[in-house]
Amino acid sequence: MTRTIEVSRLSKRYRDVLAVDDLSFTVEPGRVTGFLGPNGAGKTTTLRIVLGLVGASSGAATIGGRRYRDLAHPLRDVGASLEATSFHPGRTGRDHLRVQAAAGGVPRERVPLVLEQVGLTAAADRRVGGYSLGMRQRLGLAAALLGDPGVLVLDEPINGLDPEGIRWVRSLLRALAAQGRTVLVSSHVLSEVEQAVDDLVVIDRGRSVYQGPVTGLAPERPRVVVDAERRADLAAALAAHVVGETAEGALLLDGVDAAEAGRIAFSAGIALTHLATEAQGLEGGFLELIRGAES
Amino acid sequence: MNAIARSVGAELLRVLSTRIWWILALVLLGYTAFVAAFLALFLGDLGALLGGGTRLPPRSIADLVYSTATSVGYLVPVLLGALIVTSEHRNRTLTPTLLAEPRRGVVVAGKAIAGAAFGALYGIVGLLASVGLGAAVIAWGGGDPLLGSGDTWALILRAVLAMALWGLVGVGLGGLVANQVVAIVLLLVFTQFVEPILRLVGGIWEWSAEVGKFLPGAASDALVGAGLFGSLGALDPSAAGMHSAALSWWEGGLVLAALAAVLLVLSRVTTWRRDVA
Repeated sequence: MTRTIEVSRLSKRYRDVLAVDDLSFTVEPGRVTGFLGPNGAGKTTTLRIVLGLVGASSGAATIGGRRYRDLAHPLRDVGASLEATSFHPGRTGRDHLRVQAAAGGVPRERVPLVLEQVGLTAAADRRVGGYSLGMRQRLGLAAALLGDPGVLVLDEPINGLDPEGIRWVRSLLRALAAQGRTVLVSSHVLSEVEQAVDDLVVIDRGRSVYQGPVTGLAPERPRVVVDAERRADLAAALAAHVVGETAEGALLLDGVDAAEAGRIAFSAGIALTHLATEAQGLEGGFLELIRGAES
Repeated sequence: MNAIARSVGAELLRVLSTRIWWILALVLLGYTAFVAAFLALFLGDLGALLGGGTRLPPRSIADLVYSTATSVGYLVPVLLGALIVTSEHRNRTLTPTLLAEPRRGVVVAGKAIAGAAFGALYGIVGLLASVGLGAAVIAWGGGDPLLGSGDTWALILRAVLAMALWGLVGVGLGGLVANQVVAIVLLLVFTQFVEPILRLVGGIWEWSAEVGKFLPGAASDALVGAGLFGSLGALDPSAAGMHSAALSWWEGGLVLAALAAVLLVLSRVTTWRRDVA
C-alpha cells in the first residue's frame, strides 16, 4: 500500500465546540512530520479520527487511500501510540504485547523483538501498574512497532521521558523515516521535536495555521540585541532600527545585522557593552504563529 | 470467520493475562463447595437427626445439591462477562483493542464468545465443587449420590450451558452499562436483592408466579432443572402454600439466551458505537 496519510476537510463537532475545523493535510512517507499545536488544539481528536476511534462530523481521513477500519490488518499497516495510560495495570508489558499481537494477527515472535528495540526487555514481565511514565511510553512505542508497520502515528511520545529517552525517541523517529516509513508525531512543544522533524503541520483551535518544512517556521530575520552604558544615545543612533527592548533594557533591533549595528554605534562614538544576534529559534516562530492566531 | 476466531483468541488471552478470572474461580469453588456440602449434610442423615423437614427422595437431594453450582454460582460468570467489557472502559484499554481490530462488531463477538467460554469453565469449576464434594457428603451420610444416573449427567450438562449463557448476559450487560462500578452494583443489587424478593413475592399469587418464572434466575433454575429457590416449598413446610410455576428446561434456556441477545444487541447499537476518546 501507499503510505500517505491524507486528511481532507475534516471537521469534528462536540455539541457546540468545533474541535477540528475544516482541517486538511497530507503526511508523506520517508519524512518525519510534526503535528504541533497547543494543548486542546484538536491534535488528539484528529489522530483518533485518523485511527477510526472517533467518527468525523464531516470530511475524511485515509491511510494509503483507505479508512483505518477498512484495513485488513491494521496493526501491520499502521502503528499507533496514543496515550501512556492505555494499559491494564495488572497485566505485564509482555502480555499486553502478546494480546495485541493475537488481536492484530501479528506473529508472536515480534513481541521479544520490539521489547528489545525499546529497551524494555528487563521490565517485560513486571505488571504495567508499576511502570514509570517513561516505561509506559516505551511500551506504547513497542506496541506501535509490533506489526512492523509502514505508517506510524505517535501522540506526544516524548511526554514524560528523561533527556536520554528524548534523544532516543528522536533518533528512533529519524531512523524509521529513513527506512521509508511515514512518521506523524504530535507534540505541544516544538522544541521537543524540532530536531527530529522534517515537516510541520501546526494547528490551533482545530484549524491549520502552518504547513510546510520546519525551517519555514523560523523568523525571517533574526533580531539583534545591543546595549551600551549610554543607552539613550545608542537608542538615538539606531532609532531607525529599534523595535523594542529586552527584559534587561537592552535594545532589540530589526532590519539590521550585528556588524552594521556595531558600525553605527562606532561612528556615533558609543562603546557597546553587548552585541548579539538573538537566538530566537523556531519556538519563537511557533509561539508567534499561535499568538497570531489568537489575536 | 477468521477475524472472529482471532478476536476470541485475543479476548481469552486478555482475560488469562490478568488475575481476576482465577480469583473468581477460587471464590466460586469455595462458596459452592460450602453450600453444597451444607445442603448435602442437612438434607441427609443429619437433617433427619435434627428432626427438621421432610425426608426428600434421593433424586431431589442430588438435584438440589448439584445445582448449587448454578443457583449459587451464577453470579460469577455474569460478573466476569461484565468485567470483560467494563475493565476496558475503566482502564482505557479500548484504544489498543480497537486499534488492533477496528470492526467493533468483531470485537463484541469475540468478547461474547470468550464470556460464554469462561462461563462454561466456571460451570465446570462450580460442578467440581457441588458434585465432587456434594456427592461425597451424600454418600458419607448413607444416601445415594446417583452419579450413575443419566439424569444427573443431563443436569450437569445443562448447568454448564446455563453458566455459558450467564457469561453472555454479562458481556451484554457490561457493554450496555460500560461503567464498571455501576455494572457491579447493578448486578449485586439485582441478583442478591431485587430478584429474590420478586421471586418470593411472586409466589403469593398464581398470576404473579406465572410472570415470575420468566425472571432470569428462575429461567436459569428451570434450564438446569433444579435450584434452591424453586425447592423452598419442599425445604420449608411453612412455604408450602406458595404458588410455584416453572418453565421447561429448554424454555428457561431460551429466556436466558434471549436476555443475552437483547443486551448484546442493545449494547452494540448504543455504547459500542460511541467515540473512544
